[in-house]
Amino acid sequence: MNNWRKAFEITKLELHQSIYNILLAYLVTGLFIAMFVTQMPTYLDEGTALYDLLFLLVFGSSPLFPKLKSFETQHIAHQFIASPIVVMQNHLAIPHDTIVKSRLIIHGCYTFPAHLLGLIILYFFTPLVDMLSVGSFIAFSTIWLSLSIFIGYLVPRLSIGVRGFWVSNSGISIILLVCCMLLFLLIAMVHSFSSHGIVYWSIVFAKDLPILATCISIIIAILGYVLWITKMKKVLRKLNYS
Amino acid sequence: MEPLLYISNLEKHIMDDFHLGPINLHLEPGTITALIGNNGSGKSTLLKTIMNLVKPDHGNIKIDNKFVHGENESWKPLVAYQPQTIIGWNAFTGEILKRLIAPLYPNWDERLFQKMIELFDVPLHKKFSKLSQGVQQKLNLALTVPRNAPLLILDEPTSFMDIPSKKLLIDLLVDWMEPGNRSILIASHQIDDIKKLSDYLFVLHNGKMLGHFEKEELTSTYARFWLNDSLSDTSIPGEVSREDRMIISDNPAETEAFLEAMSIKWSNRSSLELDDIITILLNNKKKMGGIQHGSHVNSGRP
Repeated sequence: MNNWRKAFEITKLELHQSIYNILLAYLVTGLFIAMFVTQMPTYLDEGTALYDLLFLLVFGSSPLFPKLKSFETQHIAHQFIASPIVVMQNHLAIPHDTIVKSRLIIHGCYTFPAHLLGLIILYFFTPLVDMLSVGSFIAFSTIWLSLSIFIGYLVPRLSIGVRGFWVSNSGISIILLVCCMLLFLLIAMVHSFSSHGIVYWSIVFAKDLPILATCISIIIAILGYVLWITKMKKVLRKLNYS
Repeated sequence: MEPLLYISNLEKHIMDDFHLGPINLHLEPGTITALIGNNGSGKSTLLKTIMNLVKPDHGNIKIDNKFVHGENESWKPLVAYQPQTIIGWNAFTGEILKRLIAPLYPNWDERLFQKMIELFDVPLHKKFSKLSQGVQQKLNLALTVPRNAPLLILDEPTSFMDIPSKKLLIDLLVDWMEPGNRSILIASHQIDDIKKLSDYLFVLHNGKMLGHFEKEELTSTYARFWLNDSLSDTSIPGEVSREDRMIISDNPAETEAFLEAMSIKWSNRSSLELDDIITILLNNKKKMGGIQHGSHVNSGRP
C-alpha cells in the first residue's frame, strides 16, 4: 500500500504535465465510441469485421495514443526502447515496485475513465440497453475492461524497456505486420465460422452466462495484472539501462 | 573502517567488442576518487554498474555493506548519481524536478540547493529542455549534491560548465566533504577537477583496471631527468619514457642510483605534472601492481 502511495506521489507530477495528452486520448476514444454507438445496430444485423477490429484496438491498445515526447516509449539507444521517465526514475532512489506501480497508474489514467464511460454510453445509446440487463451489462463491461488489462498492460511493460533486434525499426515493422495479420485472421475466422463477430459473441456471452463471463474476465484480469507486474519487475532487475 | 563502496572482481561484457574488468575498488568515507581513463574505457559503464543500471556478469558491488545487485534496494538512498547524459527531465522545470527528487532523499539539504541555484544562476521556472547544456548541467548538480547521500557519483560533471562555475563547484564539493563521512567518485577528463579535488585516482584503459593510486604518492613516484649527454641504447631502471636526453622514471631512486653508478651526469631533475603522469599511464598501459594505497586523506584539500 505504501508503494502505491509513493507511486502516486511520483506520478502526480507526470500526470500534471500530461493533462492535455490524457484529454486528447479521451477525445479520440470518445470519437471511436461515437462511431461504435452509431454503427452498433448495423453491426448487430450484419456483423462488420471492421467494427470488431476497431473495438479490439480501442480496448486493447488505445493507450498507444501519443503521449508527451518526454514520457513516450522511444529509442533510447541502439536496439533499446524505454520511456525516458523510467530511465530517470531508475537513476533515483525509487524502488522497482514503485516504478512499476507508477507506470500502471499512468496507464490507468489514460485508459480506465474513457473505457468505462465509453461502455456506459454504449449501453444507454444503443440497442444493448434492451438486450442486456444491468447484471449482463456489468459482465459485458468486465469482459472488455479485463481485455484492457490483459492486452493493454503491454504498453506500461514496453515503457519499462526492451532491448534487442525486435525493437529496432526492422523488428518493430515485422512484429506489427505479424500482429496485424494474426488479428485479421482471428477476426476473419470468427466471422466465417459463426457469421458474427467478437463483440457480438461477447454480448451473447454476457447475456446468457453473466456470472461465468464476469468470473472468467476477473480471473483473466488478475492473471494479466500478476503476469505483467512480475514481468516488469523482472525486466527492471535484469535489463541494462545503457 | 568499512568501505562505503566495495567492488570485487566485477566484470561486464558489452556487445562483442568491449569487456570491463575485472575491477576491484574500495572507497572509504572521507575520500574523493577520480575515475580516469581514455575515451571508451568504461568509466560511465562502471558508474552505471554501481547504480545497478548495468548488470554485471561476475563480481559483487556493495554500498554501505548492502549488495547492489539483489532484491534489497535499501542502498538506493545512500547514493546520489549524476549521469553524464540526462534522460527524462525535458518536460519538467527545475522547481518540479526538485519537488520530485527532494522527498526521495531523507537528508535533502534545501539550503544547499537554494545556494547552488543562486550561485549558478539557474532559472527554476524554465523547462529543462529550454536550458543551455551548461545550465542543464548546473541544475543537474544542484539536484544531486544536496541529496546528501553518503556516496556521491558524478559522471563528467563539469564538461559544459564555464570556468567560474567550475571553481564554484570545486569549492562547494570541498565544503560538502567536510563532515568526513561522505565519499565522492568522479569521472572526469578535466585535469583541474582531478588535481584540486581528488585524493585517489582510479585508472581504466579499454575496460581494464590499470590501478588505484593515492594521488600524492603517485606524483612523487615519477621524476624527469635531463641528462648532459645523449644515451646509447642503455636500459635504465625505472625508465618509462625517453626523448633525446630527457628520461622519465617511475622509480627515481633506482634510476638515480643507476645513473651515479654508471657515471652518467644529469643537469636537472624535476617532478611531473599529474596530467603528464596520467598520459604516461594511459599511453604505456603500464600495470603498476594494482592498488597502491597510501595513507587515507581526510583533510588537507585545497
